[in-house]
Amino acid sequence: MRKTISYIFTFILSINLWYASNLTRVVFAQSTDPVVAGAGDISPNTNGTQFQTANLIQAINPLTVLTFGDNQYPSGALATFNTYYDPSWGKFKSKTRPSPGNHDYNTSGAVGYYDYFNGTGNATGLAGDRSKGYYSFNVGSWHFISLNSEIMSSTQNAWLLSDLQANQNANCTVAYWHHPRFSSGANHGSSTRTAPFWDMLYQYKADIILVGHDHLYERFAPQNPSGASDPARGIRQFTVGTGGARIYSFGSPIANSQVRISTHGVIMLTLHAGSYDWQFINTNSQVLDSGSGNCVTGTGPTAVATKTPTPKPTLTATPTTSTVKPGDVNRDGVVNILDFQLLSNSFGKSLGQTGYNANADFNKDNTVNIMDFQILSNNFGK
Amino acid sequence: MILYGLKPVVSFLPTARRLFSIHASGCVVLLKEKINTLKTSFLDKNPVTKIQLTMVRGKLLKLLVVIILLITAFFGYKFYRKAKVKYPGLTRVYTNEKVTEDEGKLIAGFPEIPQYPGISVRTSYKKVQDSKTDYVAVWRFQGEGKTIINWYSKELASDGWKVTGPFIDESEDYLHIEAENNNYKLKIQNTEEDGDETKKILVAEFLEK
Repeated sequence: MRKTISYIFTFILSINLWYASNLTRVVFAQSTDPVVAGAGDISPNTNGTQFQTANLIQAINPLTVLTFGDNQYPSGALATFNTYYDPSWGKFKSKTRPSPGNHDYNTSGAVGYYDYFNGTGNATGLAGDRSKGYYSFNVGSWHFISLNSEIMSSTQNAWLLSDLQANQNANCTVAYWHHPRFSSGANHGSSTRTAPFWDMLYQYKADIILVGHDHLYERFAPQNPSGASDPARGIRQFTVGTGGARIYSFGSPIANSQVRISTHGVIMLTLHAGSYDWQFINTNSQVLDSGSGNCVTGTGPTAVATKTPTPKPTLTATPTTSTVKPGDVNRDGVVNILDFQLLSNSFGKSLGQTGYNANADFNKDNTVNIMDFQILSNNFGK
Repeated sequence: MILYGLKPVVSFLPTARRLFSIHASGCVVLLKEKINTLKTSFLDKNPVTKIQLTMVRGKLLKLLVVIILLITAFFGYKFYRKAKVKYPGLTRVYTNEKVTEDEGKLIAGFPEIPQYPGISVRTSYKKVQDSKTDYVAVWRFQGEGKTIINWYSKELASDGWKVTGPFIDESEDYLHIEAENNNYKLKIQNTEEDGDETKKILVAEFLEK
């Protein structure tokens, strides 16, 4: 009888915990490392799905929001930016680093795009120099490069080369623009127009490329500019043209394509010191694709005879938050019963209340709650 | 329904085992002590025979089984509802689909669909994954996008499809419709080949239910 009761107790507890875990499925970020999120092909000429993807961005609350072109349909006019983009993705404008697409350039010189992001008439701003449309910035130890695939030029290529050379000490590199080099989409498909970007980024050991244009989500295995598999030092491309415009269809999957999804959503990248995690989240807050990858190690180009690699300065061992494991409340390097005890002591407490323990608030929502418990349980024993 | 309830339990077992090691061991010990105390107290106040005690145990066990079944059914129903809306709309997560394609004609087995006069097939695809067979076709057409989408909306409805839309998307001339019948969910949209507004295409995607 006692045995039966204990089994029943376990059974009911299991069901309840499973149900609780499903309720907290909207916990996207489980790390203290920087998070960026974004999508391309965002705002149709109507109040549509861009509001749902904006809600996802809001829930993720990333450090930086990236856009992969075609921010506003059909022609990127400032009036439509203000009417449709601004009430949705415009909520994150101050932390958005956009890239332009072909629809943004349907207005001559993409005036609406630059006026919206940089401010009317301003030469430069969030979208970079309006005469260029490409720029770079850093998020933590990661280097980000926003490129203009609508206006391909030797000037931009030269700038990209110099930017890569100047930032060889970045732990990892992400580049993003609009037109995909590789795509299994039935509507647009692969295009060689951005092959020069790929060549340089591969030579300088970039890690991730993010694009849009095909209104789909597609993840590729690391590959070289020719599309051949290269697990050791290839670049992983994500097509995320799922920000709000209507969704396209896939044709036959091309080489190295690993996952293909036709639905609206956003990509979230968690940036670790030498690696990254990705999640593709649909408008139902479900993670439809996720995984982790390592950054390509080493600096300098691999096979460029004309380039002299810049000497890499000695890196100082600066402690970062990335060394703290999620769930490790007492910072002893192990997530165990002691952490559980500490979390229990501050459970239900919010910032400012007596008993609130910031170390137990893993998702930094200023409250120690079931979501933090979920993070701890996911890492228990690690 | 019961099976649906058991599915999440099985999938949750590793986590449950880990969490159970934290919570349940302590709780069960407390529970056992409480039961023993209650039992002793009850037997002291109500002397019963061994047979009566066995009968009480049997009834209690049956009651617990009924409670478990009710709880399982409740969560099974919730899981069933959630599974039903897992990927709303026309969504497939393709990872290992087997694709065959045909150039210039509809691939064998392609579902019946009205053909707008003058359109020509560019490519068609058949995709099989997890015992579901989906189809995609790309046609080239001339004329206005909204005209062809409106035509399909009416024709599909008269063919017995339940049609929603047309929805205006990127602009007035870029639209899509969604439709379904007993076998498929269908999406049709007009667009253009990469970078060339003169090469207009119509794309239809059938997802098997």
